[in-house]
Amino acid sequence: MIDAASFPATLAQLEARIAAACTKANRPRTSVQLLAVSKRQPVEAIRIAYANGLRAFGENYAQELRDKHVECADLQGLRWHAIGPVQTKNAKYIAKAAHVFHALEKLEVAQALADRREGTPLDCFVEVNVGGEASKAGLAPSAVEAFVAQVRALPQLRVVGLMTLPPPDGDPRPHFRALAALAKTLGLQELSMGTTGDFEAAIEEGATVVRVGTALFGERPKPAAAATAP
Amino acid sequence: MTSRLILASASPRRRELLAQLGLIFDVSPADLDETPVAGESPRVYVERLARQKAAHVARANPGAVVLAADTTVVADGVILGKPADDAEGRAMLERLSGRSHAVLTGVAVSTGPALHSLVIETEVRFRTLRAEEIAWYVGTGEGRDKAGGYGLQGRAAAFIAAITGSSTSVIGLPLAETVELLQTAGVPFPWSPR
Repeated sequence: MIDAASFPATLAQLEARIAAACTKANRPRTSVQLLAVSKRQPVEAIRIAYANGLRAFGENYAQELRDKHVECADLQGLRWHAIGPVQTKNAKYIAKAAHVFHALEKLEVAQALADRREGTPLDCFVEVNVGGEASKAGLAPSAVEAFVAQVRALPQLRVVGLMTLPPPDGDPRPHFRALAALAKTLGLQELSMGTTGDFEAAIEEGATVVRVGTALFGERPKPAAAATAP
Repeated sequence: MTSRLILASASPRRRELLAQLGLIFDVSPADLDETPVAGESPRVYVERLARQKAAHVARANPGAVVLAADTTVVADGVILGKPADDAEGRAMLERLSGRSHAVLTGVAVSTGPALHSLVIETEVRFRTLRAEEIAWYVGTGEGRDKAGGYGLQGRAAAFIAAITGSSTSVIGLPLAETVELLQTAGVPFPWSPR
């Protein structure tokens, strides 16, 4: 786990890399949001990151997000991003606790989120499978326009952009470019793309949110033995 | 409801060329045997491959418009495909140095019932390349996944003394001709009336 003494230096290093990528891409630093991916990290790690100024945290698992939302209720201005796929039955946790959802691709999930959402609309990124790889999450590019039109009928949700996760091997740049081109054609402004291994390339290709976990918090702890009830 | 457009190619360059046109499309590469048939001319070869790729992906996607292409480099009547290794990449550039070669791209569009295709030929002339320059270029790895062992848009742009014909065809997709083929197939463009 990270410790309070070394985290400032780790964060400063990451910030320097993001700033350099923005300069290279001729983009203002403010155009890119750093999302600290805290999935499977203990709450203590989130508190240390928060103490160092970070406010946006990304969680993959709906129940973990729900639990951390409760445990971190005292941290003012913290914004939770749900970044993993969500089953319809768990949508209520996202609707209640998250500010942003990055993995929208199913209409029944959109409907479930809308039904349970109160207050400000939930910002949503539509997940796109740009490369057409089999068994990968995300809509095919040709299906995105119609899907966005359907989601726009739900006032509790606000589609803000597109998200993609390129395959782990190979050059991610063509995927980033394809997502950027698709967003531009559809008139969507935000691009959630780029993680620890490729965020600099993602920034160069227009990313507005980069999802960084390992470079901030180190390797994730192994999942604990199943001791809690489902 | 307009048909789905599918690009039957894994090439990131073809994907970008198509995306530049403001088109929305899915990607579904066709994995076919690309061995030339004995005695087959390069023009026949690239057109045959483009047609086969389009037809193959069209069969799996009824109702979609499928676009496929194949690019090959020809020097001294010899087809230069993607180099198998760095040694072959070096040999290809040595052959192309200081002279002209042809880049042929076959393009095919399937609308299900119909399969339209064409071949575009572009002449590319290289300046004379030094051995160290060739070794350096091969070392960058840029030419590894490209016909003829070089990429027009990358560092090899410095090799090109002249191009006669379609520049986008050399990159992998002759855009002017592709736009016309796609319009004939009924694909809506950003400027098409809705």
